[in-house]
Amino acid sequence: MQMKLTAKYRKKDKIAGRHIAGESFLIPVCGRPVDMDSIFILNPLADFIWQRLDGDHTVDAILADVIENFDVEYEQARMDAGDFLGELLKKELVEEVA
Amino acid sequence: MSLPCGQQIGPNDGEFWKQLSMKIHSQRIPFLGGLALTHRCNLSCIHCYAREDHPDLAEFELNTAQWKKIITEAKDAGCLFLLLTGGEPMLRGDFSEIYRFAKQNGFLVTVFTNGTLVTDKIAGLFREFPPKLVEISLYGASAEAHDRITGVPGSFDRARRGIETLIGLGVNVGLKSVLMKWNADEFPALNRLAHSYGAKFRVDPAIFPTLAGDRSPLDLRVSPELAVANEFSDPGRAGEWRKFLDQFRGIRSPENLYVCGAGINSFYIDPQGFVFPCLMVRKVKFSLLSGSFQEGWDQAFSTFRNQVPDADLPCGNCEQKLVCGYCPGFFEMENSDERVHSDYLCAMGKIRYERINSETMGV
Repeated sequence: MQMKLTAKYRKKDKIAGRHIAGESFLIPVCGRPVDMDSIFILNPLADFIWQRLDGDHTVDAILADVIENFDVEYEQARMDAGDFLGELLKKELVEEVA
Repeated sequence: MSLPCGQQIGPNDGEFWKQLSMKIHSQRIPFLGGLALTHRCNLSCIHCYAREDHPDLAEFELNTAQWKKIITEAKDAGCLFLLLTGGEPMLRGDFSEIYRFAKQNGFLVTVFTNGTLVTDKIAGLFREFPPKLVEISLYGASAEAHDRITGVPGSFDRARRGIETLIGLGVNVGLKSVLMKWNADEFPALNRLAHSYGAKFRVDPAIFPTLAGDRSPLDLRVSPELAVANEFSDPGRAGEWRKFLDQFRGIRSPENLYVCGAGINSFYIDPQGFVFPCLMVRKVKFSLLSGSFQEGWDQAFSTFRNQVPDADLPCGNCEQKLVCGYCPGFFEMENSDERVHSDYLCAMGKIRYERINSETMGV
């Protein structure tokens, strides 16, 4: 996904993040009843990004944090974050902050 | 749906849940919790363990803010699966508020109800915030049979309306029943009814005294033979037990008296705010009005799990222990002593074990 590096995103309330036993979960709050049986486990990179989708961090700032904390090149981080953010936007789990 | 950088997990991802369960167990995280929001009920079921005949019960119940505080603390401690039960939880005026709060805090919420209070407001709530599961109790497949046990005329028709409303919304509804002398003939029809709704159906033969100590519900128990026969009327049951036995046979059972998850990965909180290791373990408790959930979890439950059984408890290395429903909490409810085994469970275990072996021989 092509991201605006200056954009800021925040989580919507359709899903809740939880940390339990060293795992990062996304738990459905609203949605179709059939989706209530499924949860998502995020890997450490996705969890790191998810925590920063707070409406305050720009994408650029998140990528800078990612590079500082993970052994990953900028281009790879940009692609991974883009994919993740793209899916979250597609599923309307996050929204861009004006 | 799937997400990059992550993985979608459903109830059938056995290996994931097994690995997680081991971590939860070893770290002693209160992953599964039951909240009895009230012991009041609009029905008067003949067998009910929570039946307490005090008109002023509501006075002693936790209020909305207290429940929210406990739910928040349980979340911080690592609880994910939350059961809202009663009594009849929907009898509380703030049920919707507490339920919504739990959902918005990222719990997977199940509700146990008699189904008679599924109002438009509740339907709207579940439409917006679907539960993981709603389990509704039915004690007969006809108004006559069900209402005789609940003591309230019209309760069957209201429960059916509740079931149909929820199913119409697409909510995951399960039906359950308690097998007793008064309804032993009802189960084929109850099975058909559940099937017609596309709902899972489970049966519990384990009637025990009320929490207040009234032993009269025990008179309602069917014989162990009938209880097992009813269970095995499900043609897949023997095979499921076989699989279970094969998986766990030979694995050395812990030497502790308690071998379940009570106080290890699960807890139960009563309407007054006492947290227990489970519904049935009544001796060990901590008032959440006197301290936090984490304090109760750390302090009150830390030693009871270290108990070992007396040498004369016959369950020790009994192979049928895997299939009898061995539970010291049950022993305590039945015999007022967690170290005195249940003859009823033991008899069922023997018959069940024989049925499993005879029906799966050569499989």
